[in-house]
Amino acid sequence: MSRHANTREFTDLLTAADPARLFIIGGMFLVIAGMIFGDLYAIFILHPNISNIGREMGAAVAAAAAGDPAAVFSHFGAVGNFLENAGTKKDAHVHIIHAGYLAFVLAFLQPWVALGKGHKILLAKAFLWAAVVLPVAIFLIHYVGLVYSPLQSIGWASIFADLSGLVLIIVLAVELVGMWRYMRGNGDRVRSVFLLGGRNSRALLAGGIALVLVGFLFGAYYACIHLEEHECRDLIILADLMEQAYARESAALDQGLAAYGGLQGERGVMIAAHAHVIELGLLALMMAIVQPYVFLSRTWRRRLVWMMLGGSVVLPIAIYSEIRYGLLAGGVADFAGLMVILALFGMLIGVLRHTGKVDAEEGEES
Amino acid sequence: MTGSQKILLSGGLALAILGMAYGLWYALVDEHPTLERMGVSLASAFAEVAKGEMGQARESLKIYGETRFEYVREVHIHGHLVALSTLLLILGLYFNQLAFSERIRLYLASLLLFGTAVLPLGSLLEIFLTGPVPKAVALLGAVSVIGGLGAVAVGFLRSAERSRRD
Repeated sequence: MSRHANTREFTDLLTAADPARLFIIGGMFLVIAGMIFGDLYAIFILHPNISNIGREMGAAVAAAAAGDPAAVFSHFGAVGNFLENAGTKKDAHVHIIHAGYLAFVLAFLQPWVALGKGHKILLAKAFLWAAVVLPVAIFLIHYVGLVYSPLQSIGWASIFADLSGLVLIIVLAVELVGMWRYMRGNGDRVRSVFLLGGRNSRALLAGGIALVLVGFLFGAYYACIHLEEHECRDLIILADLMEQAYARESAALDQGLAAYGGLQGERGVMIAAHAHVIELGLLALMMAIVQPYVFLSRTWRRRLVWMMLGGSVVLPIAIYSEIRYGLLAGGVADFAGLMVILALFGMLIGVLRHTGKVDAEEGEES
Repeated sequence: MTGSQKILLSGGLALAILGMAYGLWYALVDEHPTLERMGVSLASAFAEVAKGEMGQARESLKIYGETRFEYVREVHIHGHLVALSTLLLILGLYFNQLAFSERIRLYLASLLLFGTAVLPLGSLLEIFLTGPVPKAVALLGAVSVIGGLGAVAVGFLRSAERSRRD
């Protein structure tokens, strides 16, 4: 452990037999997979879907103006289909990343969980399996639908998603019981101090807290100023569209549809900027703890940290700028997302190298 | 593990479980009917326009607005509870390194836990109550979390300053 300055306080959680290794590596894979999926979702599904929804919405309103209720239902059915397509993919993206975050946290909680090592490894495996099944099942909801489903409104994909969610909850509950046992004096008293003294850890810690704070402040601003105004405006535009369709004012309908599309874009961008800045802040905070396990040269560790922080700052700003700059800002957001993914991937390589080193040292000792 | 870490880690884990359990219950019981009601009410509103029944159309639009309001809050509760409890867990891991006395850290941990529990509660109350109370509850939660996190930032700055001096 010569690379670590404060080795007297450093507890290596990445030994071969430690469940923390499963949680950390599994968590990093989950977050990377979720981010790659999110980038693909933004590029290939989100934007085409918005134009499809706009087209079908326009056709539905035109059908209302033409006095054709059957066509209205048909076009709104298509809108629902497109919304489900995009919604399940966004949910898959969010759930896989959150499962990864929880895996990280559980990794570092392990010294304080008073359960047998075998049980802890079993819990880690159950958690990671469920964390993989959950987003895959959510992704499949749109495609599987209600085929062969024993239930009226919930399909097999939803059933598997719910079951894997239940497994995650059970694992967390058992870990909580283990922690409660530790607090009551059970288990080994391991001195678990996470090193945050290095410059890289400090930079990620400061950047992470700043990002989360900015995200919270922006969220509070959105909730106080825009949330209800957007909800009111949504209903006003829809009511106007109904009146215009009734009066068959086609020019006003086009304007109303454009305003409705603009509002959906504005709302989507604000919520996405708020969510992403917080998520990336949380990631930076977690990566601050992982730094002692990133077995790379000092220069590369530094590069990866700044790449992650740079991408984390640019991504939400670019998302927010989509209101004004459209797809250009969207492209910058995708690139910033790629920066974060590459930085995380680099850190994962460092962690894998660290585990290799630990395994080699353990092999030599035995 | 210090007392403040116990509050953040056990409280964070308990709230994460609560948030996930709420999400599971919502997905199983309420999400499908809510989405169905939302879609049908909006489509019905325009179909009624097509039939020339404007009074009925306005009624359907009202149902759509109410259902959407409820749906947004329900998703907020699940999302905010899980995200905020993840923050508590992460902070709990290295809360003992904040450059404050343990007494202040205990107050801070309690404030963060309180805010994390109360912010989604405000969204939940908005579904059932009208008037300023739900908003005040959500605002109290938001202020607690933001204030607590601001203090955490100061604590880490002081800690970094100390280690630089040493």
